[in-house]
Amino acid sequence: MSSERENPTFDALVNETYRRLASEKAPEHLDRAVLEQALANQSSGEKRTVGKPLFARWMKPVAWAATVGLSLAIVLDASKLPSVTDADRAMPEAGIAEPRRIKDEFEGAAVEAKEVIERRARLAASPTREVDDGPLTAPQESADNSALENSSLEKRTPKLKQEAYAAGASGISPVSRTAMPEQSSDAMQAEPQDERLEQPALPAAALAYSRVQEKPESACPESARESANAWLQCIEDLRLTGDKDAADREYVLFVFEFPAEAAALEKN
Amino acid sequence: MNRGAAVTNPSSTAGPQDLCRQATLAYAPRMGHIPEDSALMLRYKDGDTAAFEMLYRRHNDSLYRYLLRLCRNRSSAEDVFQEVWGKIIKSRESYRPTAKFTTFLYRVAHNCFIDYVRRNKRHANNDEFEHESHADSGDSPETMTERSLAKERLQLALGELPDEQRDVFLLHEEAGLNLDQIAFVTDCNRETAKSRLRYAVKKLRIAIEEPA
Repeated sequence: MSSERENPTFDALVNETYRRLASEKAPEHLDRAVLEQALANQSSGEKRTVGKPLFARWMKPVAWAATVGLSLAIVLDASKLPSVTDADRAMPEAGIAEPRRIKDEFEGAAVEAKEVIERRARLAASPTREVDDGPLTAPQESADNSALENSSLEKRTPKLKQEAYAAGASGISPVSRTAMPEQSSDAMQAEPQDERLEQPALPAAALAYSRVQEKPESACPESARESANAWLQCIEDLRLTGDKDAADREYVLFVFEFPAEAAALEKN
Repeated sequence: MNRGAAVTNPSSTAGPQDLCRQATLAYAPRMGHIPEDSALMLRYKDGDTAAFEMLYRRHNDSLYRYLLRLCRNRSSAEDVFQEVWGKIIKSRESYRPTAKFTTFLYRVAHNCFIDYVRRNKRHANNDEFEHESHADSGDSPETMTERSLAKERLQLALGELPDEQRDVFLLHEEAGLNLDQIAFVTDCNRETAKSRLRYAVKKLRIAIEEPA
């Protein structure tokens, strides 16, 4: 303050005169009032602080604990959710590629099976067999059968089935038409029904394929295929007209439909 | 000697100085030390009413004179005085010793006076202040007469000063605040405070020196 007193705002005469003038003191009643107020406020403040801590002390820790707990719960809950991995992202493509691959393998297997069936049909069709070939011997038949059994198709069919199921196409049932010649006639009759039951869940590609396979184009009319004799007559007519391939196809179908007649023919 | 034992058993051989050394509060009273206003306020905050009384006794008269001359009305000054100390008491919980306590006290007083003026417009024309003369018995009659006249002139001149100039002069004389502190209390810049003080002192000087 001494430095302040040196400034031009300070006047010794004014200061001295004011000091003599300003001699009033605060009244006693004011002093008492203020000090009582201070005491009263202090005791009320103490009461307030006595009642306060129970709630105030626990409020912050509880709030913090709740916040931390909720955060942990959210984090743990989020970690349980299935995360999108690279494999999951690739799934749609795999899902598309898988039926295609299965279809290709089915088609390849079908071609193989068809060749085997045709070879067997040619062997079975004794009237049309050439003299040089000679009669079908037991070793040859067994060789054909073993060839069929050992064919990659037989190996692949169960594998394809498994793959198709694993790929999520629960209804995929690789139609083992190619194995039909190896099965008994009863089994051959029963299987198409089973297949039809399983077909609704097939993927579109497999379904389309099976439809193609189910209804092959026939050279003989529907009426001719109703009886064995009429069908055989139709086949004979086809051979006579020179359509040997169509006759062979019809004969294969004939063997499927009328195995007993076909066997009798073979015996004769 | 074990420090913990001294704390748990004050009646042991530990002297008052040791106990004071162990005190955790930085503002704890020590022998031969006059506690600062801020320390007293903090002690009052912690429940020491005696500390508040000490603080009050230090500032009550100067604050009363400041308000008396500012309000120029005894009852108004008393009302504002009580209001000021009431606010100080209530603010003890939130009090932080960031500034000088005197600055804090007079800022509250200044604001209370501003509120009083706003509440009571008749303040400007209601000069009921009666000067109490306290003559010194040792002075000669001539000197006493001269001083008495000077005081009367100063009293009149103070009443005629604008409120802002009177406020600044009283803060300077009664509270002993410097220009920066006055500027803070009156919420103006330093140069404004300085200018107001200079004008006030000049007018008062002229009034005192005025021939009878």
